[in-house]
Amino acid sequence: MHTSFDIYPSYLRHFPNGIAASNPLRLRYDIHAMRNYAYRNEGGKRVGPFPQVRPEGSLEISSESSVNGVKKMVIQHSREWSTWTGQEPASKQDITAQIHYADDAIGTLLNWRMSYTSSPILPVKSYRYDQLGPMQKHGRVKNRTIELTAARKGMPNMELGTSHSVTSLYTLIERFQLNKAQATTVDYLDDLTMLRPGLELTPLPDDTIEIEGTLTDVHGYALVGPAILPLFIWMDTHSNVLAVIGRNVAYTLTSAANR
Amino acid sequence: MLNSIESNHTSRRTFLKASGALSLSAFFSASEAAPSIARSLSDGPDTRPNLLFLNLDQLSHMALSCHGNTHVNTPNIDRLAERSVDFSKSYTPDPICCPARASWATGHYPSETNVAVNNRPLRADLPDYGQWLGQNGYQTVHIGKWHVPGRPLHKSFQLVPHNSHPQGEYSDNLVALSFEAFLANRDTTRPFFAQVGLMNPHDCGNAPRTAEHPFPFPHLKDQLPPFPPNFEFDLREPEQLKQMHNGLMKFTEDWTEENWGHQAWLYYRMVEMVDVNVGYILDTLERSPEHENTVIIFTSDHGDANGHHRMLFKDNFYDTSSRVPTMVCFPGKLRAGVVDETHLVSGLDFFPTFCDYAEIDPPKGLKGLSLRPLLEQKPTQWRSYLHAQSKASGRMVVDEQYKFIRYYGSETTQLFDLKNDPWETKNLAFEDSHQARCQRMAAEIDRLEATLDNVELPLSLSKRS
Repeated sequence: MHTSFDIYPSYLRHFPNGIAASNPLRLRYDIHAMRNYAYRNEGGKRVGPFPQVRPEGSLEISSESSVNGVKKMVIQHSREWSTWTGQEPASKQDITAQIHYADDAIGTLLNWRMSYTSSPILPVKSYRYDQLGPMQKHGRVKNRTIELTAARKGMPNMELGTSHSVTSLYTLIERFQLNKAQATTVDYLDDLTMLRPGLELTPLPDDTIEIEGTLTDVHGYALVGPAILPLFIWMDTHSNVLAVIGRNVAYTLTSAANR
Repeated sequence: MLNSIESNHTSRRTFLKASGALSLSAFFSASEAAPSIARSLSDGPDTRPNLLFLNLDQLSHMALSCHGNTHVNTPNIDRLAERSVDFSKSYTPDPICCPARASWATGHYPSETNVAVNNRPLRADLPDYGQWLGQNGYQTVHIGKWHVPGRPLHKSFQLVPHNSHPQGEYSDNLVALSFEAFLANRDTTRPFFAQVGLMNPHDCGNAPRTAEHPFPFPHLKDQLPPFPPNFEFDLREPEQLKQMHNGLMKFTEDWTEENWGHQAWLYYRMVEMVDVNVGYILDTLERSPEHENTVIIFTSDHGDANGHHRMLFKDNFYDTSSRVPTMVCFPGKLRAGVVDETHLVSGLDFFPTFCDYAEIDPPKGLKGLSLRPLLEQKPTQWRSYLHAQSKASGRMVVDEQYKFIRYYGSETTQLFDLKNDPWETKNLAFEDSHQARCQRMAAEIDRLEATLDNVELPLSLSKRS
């Protein structure tokens, strides 16, 4: 069994059917994170460590049909975690975005508008956490340069040089779901802001895993290279992107439907 | 251990000191981190520099391309180094998270803070730098990892838009974005003190998962680092270290060179991951009006063994775990691209350095020294010995060439010649010719220990009898 399945298979869901590639679609993922370790006492002997996996957010992707080779999607990416395993969540971060991207093999980013909000969830009323409003940005890729423009006047803008077509987690998932992705080298814009250039999108050996009691054939790709821990993208025979699994985090598909 | 720094800002400092004394009398009973107004409007705009404390978790000094490591590429931290004074002989106060971070925050050794091992609560009567700078006119913000037990963030910082302790793989991007959001929204009438704590490369702690699987990318196998030059080493270690080593060896005894290389490869990818986040934070700051008036201190709480000495993780005094990068940048005000290979620098020094640049007196009794005279090449008498602690019972002292290690409750000591044996492979404490040096350095540990305001620790921890 592949290394990426060692702690997450129980979170994967079985999907008996695929969805129509030509229609708008909606995908929903739960986020599970490997936090710390636990040890157990078995017959007076300390055994472990056992990784502790926790639900820590969700990702929703809603894409529309292609118009003149340009596609549009809306994403809602929420991460919420506790300071310590087992505690109530203490911090929540949301990225919402509208993305225009190419109807090509990697979902090349064209332009996007995003909002980032970081919300502490704290027990202390006097805590002045509400002073940071949402941060809004526009992004576009032009002439091998990513331009990140702050919506608020006076805030810095950024330009990031690229060497390859620029993709994202969201558009890659959509491309794989529609069976349009191909192995290539990409520049990866993590969370639509952090550039991890020169990553390989490389095929993985086929595998079989048991999902909800059903032996399921899966095929996949890995996003691997400098400045990233490998991300393993696994699909079933219907091309459903069942999971995107990193070293310490897994996005597991809970719902795939045409809108 | 002397430090003579002449203040250039006596009047402001005197005023701030008086204000601080007044407010601190009620400090812990009422307002906690609420800022006192240490200045009045008649003082004019507060032009004191912003202070950005940018810290990583588990980054060894040797794990950067600017420090000669060819297995990793860190263009953004390298860029910071080119703009900084980069202290080569920089050590953590304690090579594990909570004790190191509590010592950063309070300027005291772990045996004084009560955080002598992970998860012991911080002494309530020690102010931390968030409180101190907040009380003295700074807007204080914490973003990311804190990990100082017993000191809730809201009691130390005025703003905490992001309080994380998850895996850096999916949270460090958000730490960088939260810093940007802070700059976009902050109160610009006051200078800021921002503690920004990124998690990676801490998350290499998943080593138990590595050996069960071959490296999944056969075409990238040539990227796997070989065994480090000190993979084989002198196994005669103090008991506390030997126990830890034996525990690690239980699950690494079957590891192949590929398994060790896989683990190291993952560690370096995590370093590169967080380097991107450091770059984003630097870009954000450099494109903002705050840039030229911001002092940046960049460091890590400890390093990672990463296969050296056939070890993983931290919590030991070998250089891979205890020696950390420390870079200080103040654009246009400090020398840039300078590697200081002379001065012994500790994580205890950050609190007094922040106070120095904030033009306020530090709390009484801090054990560190302000780096400012070194940075500005002002006359100062610097320390000849640097001390650190580990596992409550361990003590390390480093001088210009040697490192001496002693654990209470263990007969075995360690002495390494860092100049001629930088990989720490040969324990000279077993050689007759070095006994006088061992005694001299042991006496230095005793000398310092007698000056510390230590708390009572359980005997099971301190091993003292």
